[in-house]
Amino acid sequence: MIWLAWRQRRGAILATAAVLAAAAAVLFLTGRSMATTFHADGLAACIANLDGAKFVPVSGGCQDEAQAFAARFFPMRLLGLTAFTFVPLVIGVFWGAPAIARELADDTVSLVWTQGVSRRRWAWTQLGCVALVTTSSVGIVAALATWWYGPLNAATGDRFQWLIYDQQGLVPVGYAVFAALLAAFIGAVTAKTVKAMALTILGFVLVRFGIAVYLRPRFMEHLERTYPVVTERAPNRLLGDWLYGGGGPGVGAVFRANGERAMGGQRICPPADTACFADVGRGAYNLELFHPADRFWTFQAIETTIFLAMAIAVAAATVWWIRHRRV
Amino acid sequence: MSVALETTGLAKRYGRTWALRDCTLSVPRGRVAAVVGPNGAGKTTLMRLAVGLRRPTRGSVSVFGQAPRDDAESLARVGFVAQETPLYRDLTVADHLEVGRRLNGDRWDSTSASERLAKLSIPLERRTGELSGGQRAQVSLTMALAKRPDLLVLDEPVASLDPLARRTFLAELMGEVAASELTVLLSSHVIADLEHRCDYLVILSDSRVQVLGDVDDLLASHAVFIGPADGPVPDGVSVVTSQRTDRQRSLTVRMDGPMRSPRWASHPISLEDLVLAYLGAPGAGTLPGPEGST
Repeated sequence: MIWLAWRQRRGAILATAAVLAAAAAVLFLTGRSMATTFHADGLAACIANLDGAKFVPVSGGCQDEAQAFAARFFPMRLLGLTAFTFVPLVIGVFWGAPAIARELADDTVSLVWTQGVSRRRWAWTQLGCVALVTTSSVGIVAALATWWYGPLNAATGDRFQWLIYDQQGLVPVGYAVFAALLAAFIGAVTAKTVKAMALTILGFVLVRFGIAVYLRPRFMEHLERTYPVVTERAPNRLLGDWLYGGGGPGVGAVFRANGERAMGGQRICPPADTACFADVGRGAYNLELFHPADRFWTFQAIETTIFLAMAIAVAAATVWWIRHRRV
Repeated sequence: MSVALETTGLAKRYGRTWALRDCTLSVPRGRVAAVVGPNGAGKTTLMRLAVGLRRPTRGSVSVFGQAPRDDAESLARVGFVAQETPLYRDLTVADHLEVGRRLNGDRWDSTSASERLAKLSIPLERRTGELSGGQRAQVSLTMALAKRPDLLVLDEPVASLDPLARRTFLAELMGEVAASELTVLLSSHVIADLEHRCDYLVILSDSRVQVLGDVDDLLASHAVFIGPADGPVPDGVSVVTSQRTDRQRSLTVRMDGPMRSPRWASHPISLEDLVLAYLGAPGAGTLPGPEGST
């Protein structure tokens, strides 16, 4: 049964390998150019010199070098953002949608379902094969993306931010496997590959959006940090903490010394510039809610687990459908 | 008489439409049974129920005494060639044989399958998508036969073939059947193809069994009567169809006993005429057993 599942996909696997090799070459060249610049410009050394400090001098902290680097490779960031965001969905749908739908449409199921294997075994083998090829193809892209983003992560400190977080580490594989098995399920129900693709994209985007926006910030209890408005040291933004301001009162806000909320956002004033803090007072402080940068991999693992669990549930539903509704 | 396929009150509904209703029939072991009927009569549904691709909404189906199940043991006993003889288009003929070998275990007869395809000059290295309709049908039949099934079910296997390919296919099939204990259930639109090849007949009409029985018995008990246009119908016969011209009347009849009527001339009936007579008269029917006609 595994042989059949492999043989059915041999051509597509080779074609995918060729496309991935070409994409990897482009990523490798652009990624290496970023890494070279990152070191040559002294940004790497500057950041290493900060030694992970939580607070850095207001006008220091490698900010100028980092901004220059980020500005220089801004087009690259846009390129990565557009490319990597859609890769897991596209690859997953490509592998998943035809897996069952095409067999139903061509009625090859009436051939294979009357051979000496049960539908249960046939279905699990097909789905396992879909999961495997999806994991390998997206896994390669995700590993490359993680490496490719290294210098950009360091220069922008936004590795934990929406959309950037979603393109590296483990989550792309989770997204892709879920998309693939969702497409296979819809294909098993509709028997139409194109319809399965369209409905999967719709369903996937809703689920992805819901989890990223509503669930991800709540994976763990957030931390709070306060620091004075009148200061010479501000939080190190290159560390990669995930701030989420603007969500409600007190989130990323400035408070007067008596605890009364003065305004949203952040204010940092040098001690000599009295006009800067005249309206809030010398004792005012900033409050931030955030997830520290070192939670990145924990969050990645949690989110990947959620998507893999949903993928397994969808796969079980597919097998059930094939055994009990396609009769 | 041992029974290969038996159904009792078998019914299948898709959504709100009944594809098959109250189908009770049995096909003895070793027979070649033809299933005929107009489009939408339920032939495909009956065949898919017989091989376990579908499950009954009501009633029961049993193959050699067992309901078809979705497991290796049950699936090993049936061979099925679906309408349009589906194969994996991107896989070669040799790949298909390999699939069969891997999925069917010891029962699979690799040698005879290869020999069969070689005899038919079907190129093993060609993708099935590039084969002709006749060759695809032969590959499908080869796959089904190589399983060495006890029951072979063929759903309109020759529908898409030209007359010559159709004849070759059926001749091949009959050769295989003669050499084995195989029971065959075969549906076709082309009734002439079935004559002299099938020895058991099932006519399905409007999702029900209309006629069921041994072909020789059916041919012996039916006849075409030619007689006067205005004369009374002879006693002791049931009229299936009647056609009248100005001068004479032609009846297709089922004879319940010996008939003596000097005014009517009796002629033997061909299988095709018998089938067409019943298909043209959905109200008539003949079934074995105490209830006789319906």
